Amino acid sequence: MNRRGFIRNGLAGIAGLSLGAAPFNLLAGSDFTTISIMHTNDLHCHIEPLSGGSGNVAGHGGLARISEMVKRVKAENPNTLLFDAGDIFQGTPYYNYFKGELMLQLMSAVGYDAATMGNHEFDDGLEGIAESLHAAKFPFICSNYDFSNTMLADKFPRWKIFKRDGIKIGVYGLGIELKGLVANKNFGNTIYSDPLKTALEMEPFLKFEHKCDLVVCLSHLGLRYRGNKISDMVLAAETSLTDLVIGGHTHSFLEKPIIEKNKAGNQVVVNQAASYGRVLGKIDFVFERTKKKRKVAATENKIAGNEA
Amino acid sequence: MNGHFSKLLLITWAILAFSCKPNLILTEVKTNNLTVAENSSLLDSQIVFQYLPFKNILEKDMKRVISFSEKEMVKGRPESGLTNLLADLVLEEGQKEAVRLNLQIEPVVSFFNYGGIRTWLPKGEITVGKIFELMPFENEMVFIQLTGTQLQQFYDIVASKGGDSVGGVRFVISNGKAKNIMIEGEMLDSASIYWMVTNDYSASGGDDLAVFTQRLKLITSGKKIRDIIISNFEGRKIRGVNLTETLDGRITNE
Repeated sequence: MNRRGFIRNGLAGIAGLSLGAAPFNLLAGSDFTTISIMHTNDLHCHIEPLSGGSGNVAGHGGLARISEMVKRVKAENPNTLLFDAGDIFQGTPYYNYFKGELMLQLMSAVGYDAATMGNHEFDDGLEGIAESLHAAKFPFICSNYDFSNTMLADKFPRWKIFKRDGIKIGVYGLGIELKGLVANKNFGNTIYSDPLKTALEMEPFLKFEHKCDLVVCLSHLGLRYRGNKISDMVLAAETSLTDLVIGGHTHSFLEKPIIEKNKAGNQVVVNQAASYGRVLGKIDFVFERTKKKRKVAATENKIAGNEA
Repeated sequence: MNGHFSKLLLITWAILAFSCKPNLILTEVKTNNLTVAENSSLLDSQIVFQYLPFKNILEKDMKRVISFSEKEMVKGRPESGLTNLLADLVLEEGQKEAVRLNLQIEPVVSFFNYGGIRTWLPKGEITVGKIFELMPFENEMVFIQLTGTQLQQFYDIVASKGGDSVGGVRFVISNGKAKNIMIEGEMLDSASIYWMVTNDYSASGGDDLAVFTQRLKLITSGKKIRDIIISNFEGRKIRGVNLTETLDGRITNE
């Protein structure tokens, strides 16, 4: 019990990036493992920190700062993954001059593990994606876009599993409906499938067939809308096996991640990290290796259950 | 012999592995949204060095001052200084361009889609770089001819969104619909035909404006919206005119 309290404090320290590497090193080889998932969305080519303008965010963001923050977290916990939920392209002159290539090259250097595709990735058509893709050393995971009949056939996995310290993290990716949002000629023969239907196929596939301990959805659907339009909140409520929905598109600034009840009555985390790299989401999943039965002890900002 | 031995080894391993394997239980989830700011972290110099050569190329072009704004202008609904400025600018430049191209048309209204305005204008110096941030897209100015009925449908969409960046028009939002629509001082006539200045993204139905795809005619200008903004701002600077905020109540809530 004491030890668990210690972990909590250790994590709180990492949140403020003020503590040294002690907590995780002390725990090495113990019966606890933490998987840290860090994430951004809607970077929109904001390579540099934001320039002036709106007072309190001036100087915030920047890939170099994100990189430093991620490095420090990784130094404390090597079991850290870094994801992006799309709209990497378009938004600063860097895009107009150097297109997506520079951004993907830099994100690779920062150490991104995966991303999903946002609608602005199509701004220069399928050609624009094809021309810059070689610079990405991480995959774009697209579960509900089918590029089979386009020049991007076989370029994107539908899902990917990461293994960290024996824990399997299954990731699927959901894109927004392109029709009406992206010019027809820019997405060509890309086929869009219903995101919820896709999610309901992906989550049991990852959880049961591939025995993933964690199921993560990278989504560019948007956090929530008035009406029934599919969104991260709808997705969270209608799925049963997804542990974390990392969102984008709506540039939603959340004071803290949302904890929602899923269809099975279990808790699911929904988060979005504003936009332009101003915020870095960080979700830590603490696993315990034990012969004891499932524990349930949910408190604020902590969820329990979800036995693997 | 060998085969038997490895099978045995495998079974032994399996027994050992599975009998000892404890349950893996998710016991706790800790969630945080970290602000990416100066006080939370330094810059990773490796990344800075990687983009520095590109930054230098950009900066030469981007830091040129093209205008001066008397106020910070942020987009807002139903109207705002920024949305009004851009819609008026596009209408003015569209009218000039129609004459220059000898199109024999008279655009009377304009639309600069709200979602396409990607940042705000700060008070003080406005640089080329700021216009790239404001209008990063390579969208082109186009003219579309709409029936009065189509225009009414369009303003109803604007009203349902609570307002947008429109020029040459005044109306009242009433129960999510556009009421008392006035164009050039006259009530919108559903039997009339109107020319609008907008961009190719909206004209192709972007952001749920399918009504624009039913237009009667479309004329492209070949001019990028961003270039038009830059040259308009530079023109003001030459004339010694600063950017000012115009809030004229073109869209009001009932």
